[in-house]
Amino acid sequence: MSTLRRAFHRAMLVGAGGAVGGVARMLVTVLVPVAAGAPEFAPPLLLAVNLSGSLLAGFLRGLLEREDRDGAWVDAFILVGFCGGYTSYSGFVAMAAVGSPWIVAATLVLCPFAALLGMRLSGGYPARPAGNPR
Amino acid sequence: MLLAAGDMLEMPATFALVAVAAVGSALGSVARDWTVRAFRARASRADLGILCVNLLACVVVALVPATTGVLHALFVIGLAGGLSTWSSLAVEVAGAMRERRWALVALHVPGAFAMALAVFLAARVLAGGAS
Repeated sequence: MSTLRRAFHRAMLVGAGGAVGGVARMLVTVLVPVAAGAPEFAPPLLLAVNLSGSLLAGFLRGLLEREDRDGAWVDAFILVGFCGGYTSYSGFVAMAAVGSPWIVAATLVLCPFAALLGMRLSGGYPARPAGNPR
Repeated sequence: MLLAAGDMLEMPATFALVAVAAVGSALGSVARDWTVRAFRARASRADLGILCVNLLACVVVALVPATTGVLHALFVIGLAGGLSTWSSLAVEVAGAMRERRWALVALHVPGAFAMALAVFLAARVLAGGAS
């Protein structure tokens, strides 16, 4: 496959994953609070979205590290596309600008740990002593 | 405001907003991927690419008026949401934590948040939307 075709193929996968992820985020953080008549649900729901997306991304990154095979479509469609489109840093910052300090603190602390947990769960980044490579 | 709490979700209008957000998110995701890959290829620093797109997305959110449903869905929920990412940032930070690169963790957790908030508020003031 030529470089141009490969780039186009990747862009299609990332775009499709991003569209699905963006719709999932909109469903959870916008449409659910509106349907429930409870806008105060939006910040904790955005936290849940960012945490679950970070956990999934960490799991997939660990899996791709562990598996010795071509995971190009998993990387493009799910990891970069879906997880990237599903989670939102701009929404988090906009939320932080209007308040919700506990949600902000929880997001900053827990998202990296969620990714770390995902990596551990997939077995891609096992805890091992330094100087003892697999 | 895109939709107010308690609004009836009218299906055709809601589907249209969801479709618009999906298009924006797809475009934002592709732009993010290109930017991050460019930083990785030229500077071997994917993390700086992520920082760059996250800051840019905060500017987009601050500049777009929050009064019209379609614009909000396209640019704020879709484009900025797809352009920015928490998951890739969390994976980068988790990798830095694992390697005990605490300066990098400080740059990308409190540092990036402070920068993003400052950029967001500054862009909002420039847009005349400061409250």
